[in-house]
Amino acid sequence: MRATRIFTTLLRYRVASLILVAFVTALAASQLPKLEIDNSNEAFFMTGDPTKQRLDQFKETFGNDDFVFILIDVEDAFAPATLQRLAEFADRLEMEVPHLLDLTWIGNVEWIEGVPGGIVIDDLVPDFNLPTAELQQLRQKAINDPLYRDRLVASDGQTVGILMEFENYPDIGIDPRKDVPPVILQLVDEFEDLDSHVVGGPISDYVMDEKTAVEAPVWAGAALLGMCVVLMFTTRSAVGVLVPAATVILSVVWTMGLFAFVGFRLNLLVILVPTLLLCVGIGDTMHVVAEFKQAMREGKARRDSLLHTLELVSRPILLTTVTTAVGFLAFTLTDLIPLVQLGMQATTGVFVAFLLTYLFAVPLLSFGKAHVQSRSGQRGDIFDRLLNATAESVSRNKPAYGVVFAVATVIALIGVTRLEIETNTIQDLPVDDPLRAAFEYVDDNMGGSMSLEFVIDSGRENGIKDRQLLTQVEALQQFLDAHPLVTQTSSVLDQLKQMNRAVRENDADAYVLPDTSNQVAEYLLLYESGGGSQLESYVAFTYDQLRVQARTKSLVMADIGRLQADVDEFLAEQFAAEATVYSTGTLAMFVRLADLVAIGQGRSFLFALVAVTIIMMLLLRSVRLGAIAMVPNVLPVAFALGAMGWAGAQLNMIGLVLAPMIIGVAVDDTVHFFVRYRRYYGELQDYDLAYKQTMRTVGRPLLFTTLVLVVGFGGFSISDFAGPRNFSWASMTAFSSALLAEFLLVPVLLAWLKPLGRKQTAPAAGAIEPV
Amino acid sequence: MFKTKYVMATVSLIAALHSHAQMPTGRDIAQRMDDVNSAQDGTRDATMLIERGGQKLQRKLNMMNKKFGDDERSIIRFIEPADVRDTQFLSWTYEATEKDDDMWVFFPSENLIRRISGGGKKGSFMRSDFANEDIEQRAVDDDVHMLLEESEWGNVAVFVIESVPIPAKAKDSNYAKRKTWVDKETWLALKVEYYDRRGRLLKQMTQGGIEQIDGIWTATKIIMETPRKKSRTLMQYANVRYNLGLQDSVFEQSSLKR
Repeated sequence: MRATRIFTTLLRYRVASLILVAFVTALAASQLPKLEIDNSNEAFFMTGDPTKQRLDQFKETFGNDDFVFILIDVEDAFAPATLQRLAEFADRLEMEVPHLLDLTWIGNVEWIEGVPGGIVIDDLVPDFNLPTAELQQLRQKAINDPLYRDRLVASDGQTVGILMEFENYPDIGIDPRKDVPPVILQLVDEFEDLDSHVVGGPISDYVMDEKTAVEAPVWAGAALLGMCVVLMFTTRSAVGVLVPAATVILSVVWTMGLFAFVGFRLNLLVILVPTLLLCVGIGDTMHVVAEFKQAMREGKARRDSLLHTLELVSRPILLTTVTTAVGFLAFTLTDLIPLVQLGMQATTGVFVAFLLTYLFAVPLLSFGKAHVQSRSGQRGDIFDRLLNATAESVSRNKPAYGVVFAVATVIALIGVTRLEIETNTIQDLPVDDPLRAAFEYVDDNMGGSMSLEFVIDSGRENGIKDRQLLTQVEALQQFLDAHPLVTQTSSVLDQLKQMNRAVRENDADAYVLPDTSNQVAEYLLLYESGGGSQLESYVAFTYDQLRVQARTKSLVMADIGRLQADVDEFLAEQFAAEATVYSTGTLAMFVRLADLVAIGQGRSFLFALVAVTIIMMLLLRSVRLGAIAMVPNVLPVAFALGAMGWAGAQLNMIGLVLAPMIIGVAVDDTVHFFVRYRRYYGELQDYDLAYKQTMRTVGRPLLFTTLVLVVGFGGFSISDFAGPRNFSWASMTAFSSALLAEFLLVPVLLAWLKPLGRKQTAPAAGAIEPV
Repeated sequence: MFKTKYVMATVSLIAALHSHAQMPTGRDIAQRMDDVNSAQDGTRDATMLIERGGQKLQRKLNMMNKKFGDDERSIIRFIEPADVRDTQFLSWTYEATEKDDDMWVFFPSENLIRRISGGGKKGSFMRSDFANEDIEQRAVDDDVHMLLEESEWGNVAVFVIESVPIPAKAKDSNYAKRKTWVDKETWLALKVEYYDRRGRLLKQMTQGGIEQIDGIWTATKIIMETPRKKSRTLMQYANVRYNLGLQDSVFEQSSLKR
C-alpha cells in the first residue's frame, strides 16, 4: 500500500521529476571535464602500503627514481658531427624539459683517471672537435668503462643514451609529472634526423593515459551501440531501445560527475566503469519497459500499466540492484586504490541506475496515448520455440546435461590452474606497439629497461663506510651480476674502485675496494669534492644507507618472482653484515602488485560469494535452495578463468575485477529465475513442470538481458591492451555460461536434490500457463 | 614663484647628474667587495650544519689563506667527521682568468699527496648546499658585473648587482647568473641568489653575524638554501684572525704532510 502511494506520487509529479533529472544531469556534466587519468603504478597503492612506504622512503633518501631514457641509433657516437648534433639535442632538452634535475650523456660525463703523481677529474669529452684519432680513443675509454658501457653508450658504440632524472615533483598543479613527456616527445619529433627510442616511467604512463583516454569512449560507444541493436532486435520498438539507453547514459553521467566532483582519478580500471555501468545498469529499465509494454498490450491504461509494472518489478529489481552492488562492493576490501575506487563507483552507479529508473524512465513512459491497440499476448516466435525446446530437452535428458556440465567444470578448473598473474603493464601492449618496441629496443641494446633496487641500511651515520660491510655488499653485487636475469649492476662500490685505481696512478689491478674504512671515507670525500655527480644517487645523505641497482630486461611476472626469491635466498644464507636489506623500485612494485592482485582476487571473491549466498538463502527462505542457486553464479567464474587459462591469457589488475563482478551480475538472472521457480513449484508441486513454466515466463527476459550484457561487454574487446580484451572475452564467457547453467544445469540439480521437498500431488490440468 | 621653481628644478637636475656621476659600475662594486678582505693572510674555524629532509649533519674544518700578489693560496683541513680528520685540500687560485687553478689533496691514512687537475668546482662541498666554487675566492673578472639598482634590504642601503660568468669560465660554474645585494657600508654581500641556465632560482645565500675583526668586515654566519632539495646549510665561523704573518711554505705541498 505504501509502495503504491509512492508510485502514485511519482506519477503525479512526473514533470517535476524530469526537471530535477535535467538539473542534476547538467550539474554532473559540468563536473566531467575535471576527470583526470592516472595510470602510474604508484597510483595503485594505498598510503599505508609497505611497498609504497619503502618507495617513498627510497625517494626521500636517494631522490626521485623517475627517469626518461632516450636511446639514439648512430653510426659512430664519437664522430664530431654526431657529437655536435647530440649536444644540440641534449642542450634543448636541458633547457626545456620541466622538473629536470640532471641530464647525463657521454658529452657531459666526468672522467676520473690516475696519472703519475695525480688524479685528473675532467669531462670525458672535453671538446667535440678533437681530432678523430683522439675521439676514437675516448670512445674506447667509454666503452671499456663499466660506468658508461651499456648505460650511456652501447658496447658497439652505435647507440648512445641520454638519461634524464627529475627532482621530487613539487606539490603544485594537478600532476607535475605529466608536464614532462609532451615536451620530450615534441623535441624528439623536432630532432627527427636522430633515430630515437624513448622509455621511462613518465613516458609509458603518459602513452598509456593517452591510449586509455582514446579507447574508453570507443568501448562505451561500441557497448551502447551493440546493446541498442540487441534491444531493437528483441523489443522491436523505439521505446524499448531509447528509454533503457537514455536511462543508463544518464546513470553514467551522474556517477562520473559525482566522482569528478569528489576528485577521483581515472585509471585503466576505473575507466571500465562507464561501460560497466551501461551493461549492468540497463537491466532495471529493461524489466520495467518489458512489463509495461506487456500490460499495455493486455489493454490496461498507460497509468495503470505503469502502476502494475512498478508493483510487479520493484522488489526484484531492488533485490538485483543490491546483489550487483554487493559484487562490486567486494572490491573495496582489496588493498589497491583503483579497485577500491572502482568498487565505490560501480556500487554507486548501480544504485543511481536504479534511482533513475524511477525518476526518469517511469515518468518518461507515462507520457503518450492512454491506450494502445490491444494485441494478443501470444507470440510464439523463435525465442519462445527455442526456450520450449530447451526445457523439453533438459527435462528428458537430465543425466546427459549433468555429465556435460561436470566434464566442462573439470576442464575449466584445470584451466584455472594454468592461469598466470601478470602486472607488468608493458606486457599488456601488443608486440608491435611503439612503446613496447622502445622498451624491447632498450632491453636488446642497452642493458635493460627495468631495475630492482636494493637498499642496505647500516642503521648508523657513516655506517656504509665500514669496509667489512662493503665486502658483503660487493658479494651481493657479484651475485646479482652473475644472475642470468640481471643485465648489469651499479653501486657506490664502482666509484670507490674507480677512485682507488685513480689514486694508484691507474694501476688496472687496483680496480678493487680500498683496503681500510678510513681510505673509503677519504676517497668518498675526494669523489664528492671532485664533482661526484653519482654520489647523491647511490649513498644516503648521512652515509647510513647505500643502494645497489640491478638492471634487467622487461621481465614477466614469473621471472621477477624467481629473481626476488633467488636474492632472498642469497641474503638469508650468505649476507652476514649487520645491516638490513630491502628491495624496492619498479620490479619490487610489480611483485607487490601481483601479490595484492592474488590476495584481492581471493578476498573479494570470497566476500561476494558469502554475501550473495546469504542474500539468496534469506530471499528463498531455504539454505538448500540458496546453495543450489549459487551454482550458476560460481560455475561461470570457473568457466571464465578456466577459458583464460587455456587460452594462455594472463590475469592482471583488470582480471581481478572478474570473479566478484561475475557473481554480482550473474545473480540477477538467478534471482528472477528462482523467485519464479519457487512460486510455480508452490502452485504445481512438480519440479519439471515448475521449471518449464519458469522457462516460459522469465526465460525470454533472461535471455535478452544476457544478450545485452554479452554484447555490451564485447565493447571492451576493441582495445589495444590485452587486459580489457581478456576481460571482454572472459565476461562474455561468464555471462553466457551463467545463463546456460541457469537454464540447463539448475533444473537438473533441483530435480535431483529436491530442495523443496517431494512431489505432493499431481498438478491440476491446465495449471501451466500458455506461452 | 616661477623663479623658485626654476631654481629647484636646476638644483634637482644638478643633484641627479652628480649622483649619476658618483654611481659605481657593476665591476666597481665587485672590485670593492673583493677588496674588503684586505688582510694578507688569515685563518678561521668553520662549522657546517646541513639540514635535509629532517636529517642533520655536522662538519668541522679549519681554513687558512694567504695572498700571493693578485693570486691566493688556501688550505682546508677537515676535523669532523672523524673518519676524514686531517684530510687536506691545498688550492692555488690565480687572478689571471686564462690560468686554471691548482689543487692537491692529502690522504692522512696513507700519508699520500695527489695533485688534482681538472673540474671539481661544480661539486658539492662536503655534501652541503655550498658548491666548491662558493667556498673559493672568485676572481673579479671571472664574471661580467652589472649594477641593477640601488635599494634597501632589511633597512640596509644596498646595491643590487648581477654577475654573469665570462664564456671561458661559464663551463666551470653551476650558475648562469648571480644576483647580489651588496651593503653600501661594508661592501659585503648580504644576499646572493644563484640562477641556472633556464633562469630558475637554484640557491639562495644570506650572510649575517657581520662584525669587524682586526678592522676587517667579516660575515660570521652564512646560510645557503636549496629550495628544490628542501635543504639548507648553516656555516658558522669562529676564531677568525687576520694578518698572522703565515709563512709561504705553509701553502706548499710538502707542508701538508706535517
